[in-house]
Amino acid sequence: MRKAMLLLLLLPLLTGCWDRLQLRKLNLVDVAGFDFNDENKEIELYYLVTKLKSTGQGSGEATSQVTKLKGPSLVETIGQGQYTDQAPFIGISTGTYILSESFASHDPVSELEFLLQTPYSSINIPVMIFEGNIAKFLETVPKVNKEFSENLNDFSRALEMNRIIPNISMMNLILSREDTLEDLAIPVIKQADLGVELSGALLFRQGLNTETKLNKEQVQMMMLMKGKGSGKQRYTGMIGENGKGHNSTDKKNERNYGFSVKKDDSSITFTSKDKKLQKAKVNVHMEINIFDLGKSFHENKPDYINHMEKELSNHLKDLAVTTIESMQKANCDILGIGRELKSHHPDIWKSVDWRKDYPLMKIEPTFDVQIMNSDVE
Amino acid sequence: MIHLKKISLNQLICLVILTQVGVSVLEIPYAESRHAGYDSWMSILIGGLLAQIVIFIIYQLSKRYPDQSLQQYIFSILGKPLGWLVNLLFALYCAESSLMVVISYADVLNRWVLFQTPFFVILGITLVVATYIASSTLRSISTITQSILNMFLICFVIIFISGMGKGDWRHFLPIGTHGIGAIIKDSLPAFWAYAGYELLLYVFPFVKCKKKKHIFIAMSIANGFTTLFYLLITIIVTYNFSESQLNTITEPMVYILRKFRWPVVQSLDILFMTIWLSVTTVTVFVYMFLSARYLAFVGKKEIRNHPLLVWIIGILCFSVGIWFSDRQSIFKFSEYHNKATMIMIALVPTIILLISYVREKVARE
Repeated sequence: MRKAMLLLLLLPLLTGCWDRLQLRKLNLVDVAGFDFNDENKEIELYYLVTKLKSTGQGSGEATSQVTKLKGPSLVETIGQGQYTDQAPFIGISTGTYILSESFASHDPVSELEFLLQTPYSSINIPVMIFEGNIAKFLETVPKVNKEFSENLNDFSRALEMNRIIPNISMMNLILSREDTLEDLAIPVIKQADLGVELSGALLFRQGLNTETKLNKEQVQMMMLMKGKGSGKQRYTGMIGENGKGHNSTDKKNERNYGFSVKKDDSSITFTSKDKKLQKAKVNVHMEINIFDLGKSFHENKPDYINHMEKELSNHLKDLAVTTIESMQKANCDILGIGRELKSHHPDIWKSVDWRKDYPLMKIEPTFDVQIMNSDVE
Repeated sequence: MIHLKKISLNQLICLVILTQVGVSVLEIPYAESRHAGYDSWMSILIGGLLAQIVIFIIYQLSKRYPDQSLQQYIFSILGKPLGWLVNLLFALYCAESSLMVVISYADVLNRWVLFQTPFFVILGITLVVATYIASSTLRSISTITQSILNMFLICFVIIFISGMGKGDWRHFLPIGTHGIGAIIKDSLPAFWAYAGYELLLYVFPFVKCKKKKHIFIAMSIANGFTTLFYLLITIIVTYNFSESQLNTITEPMVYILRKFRWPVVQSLDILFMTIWLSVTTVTVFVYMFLSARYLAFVGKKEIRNHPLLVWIIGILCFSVGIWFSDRQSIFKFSEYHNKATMIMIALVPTIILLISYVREKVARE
């Protein structure tokens, strides 16, 4: 019986002589960048591989190598790799996928869906969209900034952890095409010195680029309306009288505000008549900690706090209205209103032609802001 | 002798659970959602319930001959020629089940983990290990199975951790819209996934217990555990994928494991599949053992050289199995296997039980 057990325990270790991969020779891809060349209609692939040179005990010099491949489709482009390198899409892990704006505009899911069926390919890795010249960026920045790939990896994780914008994995993107209610907002980054910064989010409807971009402020509103705004993120801005934003004409009455969200609850309710949808309401209740409200902290009297709670609610509502308008124009249901309607109100859902009705439907956001750390009794 | 020592109730539970679960874990609930959609969790539950009914039938049959296995008492119910035929059919069915599991999992490994390793190498290595274990006694097999339960529990944890990431509970709503007809229709493929409990037909007299009723309770616990396990997988899959997404993914659990992001292990699917190989091997060696035991009774005298029979079956499985490296042929074989399962584990025991009742009634009169 011992022999039998030994044999059984050996089974999981059968990596096979045929499939062995030598660690030293593995190309671990930190960044895979995909671009579409509008002139010759070719797909260009950049992969950034970091290798350690002069390794000692716990030390070594990191060198980044960028390889460029091109071909009529992404599969063929990757196939080119076997003639130049060790075909890094086989038996490697990828840190981040970056799509150029041009690549993202040309039905990216059709090009990428083979990754789902490819063994060893990383499909749990975040996808980002790069604003600007991705070729120039990947060919220059990683060579100068030795910590670029590590910083980029940390950056994408921080976006998710700090609830600035959730990561969209390669699998999320590919599978979103199959579901009419699975629209996505993919983070857009741009170059900032020798690194990157978040520029906004590009809206995707069923895996297709709607060419509508939410700016950073709208991304914040999207997160608040999804009930995922609480966390380490800081919300700052200017607020005028009656909750008007900093574009109001009366600059004298504008005040700075800054807060973090302690608790963010969101719910979607529907109004209908004769099983016909009339209105959707996005109700957001927030408990916030303020660190700036236009006056010195000791001047924050109860009346002022109550007043500012209302002002902030109105201000956020205004911002939410423009954000929802952008989403509706793009026919992109990032807030999951359709899923909520289908799940909880199947009778109303039957009377709706979602893609046709969503851009025209009345969606009303409401904000109920409660300041939790006022310094007055 | 093959069964000098009896097995405990705990060993019976382990044996049944690990024979039931196998390759289907990676596919659940794809087949069960073809009509039932996101209501497939109900089909899984009904499938478990159907399996419980068959367990009850098998228990009722075995209880009538508490000191004998089906191989022996079949002659007193059906007579010798038909008894030999039934034993031969069961031997073929068990060998075929063993083959089905081993080629299905070799195919999975070949597609996801060891895609350069020749199919016959994976098949051969798994069959050598399984045949070696199947050639030992029932008691030894049960003890090994008990040890493999730890690996099963590791896999259980991996499934649970990887499945509870980002998802949407609204994928389950609105409940029951696919209709009861669709749900029952899909409970049939679910029922196939529960196969394995028919080993009771053989092991019944070799279970150590104070009352025979305890065997039924142990079988129910095992089947209940498998039902809950399948239900958990269905819930995890439906939580992660919407109905329309599930239509494009035939092995949802593989994608859930691949979806999981953890800095320590990049590809959790590869880790899971290699550990799960031990769990599927249990199904292979249990069916191989049973096949040899049924085969031993095809003939006028019982063939007592059990290891020889097992190795013959192992070599046969390998010889046939190497022709199934093409996935399409596995699909065709699977269709045949499902029909055979329905007949051999549900229909045949029911008919034998009815004949046994009738014969008893006639004898009394």
